[in-house]
Amino acid sequence: MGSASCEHVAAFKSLYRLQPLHILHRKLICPHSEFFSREAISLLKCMLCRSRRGKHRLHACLHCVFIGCFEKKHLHRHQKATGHNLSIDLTFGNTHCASCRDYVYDDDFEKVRLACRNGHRNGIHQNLPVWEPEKIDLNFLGQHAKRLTVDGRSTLGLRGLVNQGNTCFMNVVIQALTHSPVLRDYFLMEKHPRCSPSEISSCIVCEFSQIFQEFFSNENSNPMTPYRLLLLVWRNSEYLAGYEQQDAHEFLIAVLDMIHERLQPRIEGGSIDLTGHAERSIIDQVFTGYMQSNVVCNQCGNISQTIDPLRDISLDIPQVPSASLMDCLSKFTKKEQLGNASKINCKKCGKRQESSKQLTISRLPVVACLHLKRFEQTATGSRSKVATPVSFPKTLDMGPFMSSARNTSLSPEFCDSAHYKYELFAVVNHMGNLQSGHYTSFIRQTSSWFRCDDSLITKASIEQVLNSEAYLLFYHKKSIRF
Amino acid sequence: MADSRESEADFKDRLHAKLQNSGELEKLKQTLRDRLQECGWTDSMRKICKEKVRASSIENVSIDDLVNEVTPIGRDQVPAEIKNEILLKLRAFLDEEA
Repeated sequence: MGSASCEHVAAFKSLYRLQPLHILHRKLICPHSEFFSREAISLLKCMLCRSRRGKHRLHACLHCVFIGCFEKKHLHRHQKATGHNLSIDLTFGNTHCASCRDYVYDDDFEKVRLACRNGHRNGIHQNLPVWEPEKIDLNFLGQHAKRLTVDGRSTLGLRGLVNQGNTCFMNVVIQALTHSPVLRDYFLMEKHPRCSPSEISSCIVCEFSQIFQEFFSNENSNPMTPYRLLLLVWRNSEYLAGYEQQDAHEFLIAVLDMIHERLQPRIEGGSIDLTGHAERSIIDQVFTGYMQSNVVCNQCGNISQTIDPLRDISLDIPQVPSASLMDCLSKFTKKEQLGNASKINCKKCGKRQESSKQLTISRLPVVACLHLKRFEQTATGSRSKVATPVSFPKTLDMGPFMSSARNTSLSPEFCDSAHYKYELFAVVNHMGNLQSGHYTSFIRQTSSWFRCDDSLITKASIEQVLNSEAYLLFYHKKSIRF
Repeated sequence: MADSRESEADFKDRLHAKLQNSGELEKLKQTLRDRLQECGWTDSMRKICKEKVRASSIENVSIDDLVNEVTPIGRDQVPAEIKNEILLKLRAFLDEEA
């Protein structure tokens, strides 16, 4: 007899074994093919009131061929008349015992239920199989009783970063990346196997794994010094070396490139495998979106379309009094006349014609990094900072900027607006001017915001975040479909 | 009066059957499950059930009691956004089927 079972199930098992249960699961609850599924649908109704509704909680009698609903007590009527006490709930497959007046969980019955359910998922619905802990997992958890709970007061995931001499540009990027969804999961699940001792000092992915461990494995209130990451980036990108203040955006792009390159599969000898069979790197999976560029000939209307990958969107800031992020994105995706001086060669017309160009987003990334171009070279060749405040929302709807917004022939599924909603999770701010400036950031963990100023982490309000002068904005997709 | 009430119930049954046979019901259910999970409703419901069981004791709580107590709370806590989304999809389905 199982641990949560009852004597009635034991009695049933000794008479009939598991066959009746198996049949019910395979035919009615988890049919493994389209054919059985349709058959099942026609049978799935209460034999007394014909109801098919989920809320009436249909049950199938285990002793005979009867299906009755729980709500209207039709199942109970049958059970009273026949003395049959065991039934299966047709929505979830759990066993109910009328004598015990409760659901019972017999080990053997559970095995049948799970086996059929996992088979069902893989067959029809193509969902991922549900993970159930094995004995080894249960033993491990039993032996290691310490649990880390993340509540409102927990500092898990929060860590200060020591400024190594104008390295705040690096610190803000580390804060943003360690709090990026999906990327964080990749590192915490240790999807990158640790490199050998000879390789590890040159592996940026191993270094980030280590940084993630420092942030998330315990509540450490001392700031950490990411000196190894600094050295790695210096060795790889000389233009970022030295103790001068660097551009946080350039650093972000350099780091993402380095991680991506490091994850490219290598063949014997260390060179990159270009056969193209590789899966997309985690960087591409998280940050890479696709931009569509349409060049339309003003003369004949011929459209020349190119699609390019993009890991971030750099936005010009319109010089208007109360500029918003939506204004920047609208400007970015606006149709622009290229003018007389920049005629494009039209394939249809066979000669250079005046054309228009429009950029739209053809595929959105999981994490969208928006870069406000505050450090621009002016017409005279000097660089200055554009300190115009730009307001930005907590929730961003990318719908209006999509290529599909202008394309009505796509199926309704793609126009599902839920796919275009993004939530803010990190903001990088720059204070001061080009000569002497400082970077700080805001990051969000679940629903709490924190301000990160090198080694100082303080609690912040959403109002503080939204009122800050943003340089880099990080949004993540609200819902992710597999 | 009795007639119009009957036909509403009949209509609901007919709609349910159409939804089930075309496979649309399963799609809508999955969409609903996803949305409720995403907005934290599923986790909130789990927490409420756990608390109710802890309040009395596991011996005293039956599935029926739990269902009766928690169902109205659950219905009440579904965000209006999600209700609207499902309603719109149902309406679209009805328009097509007509």
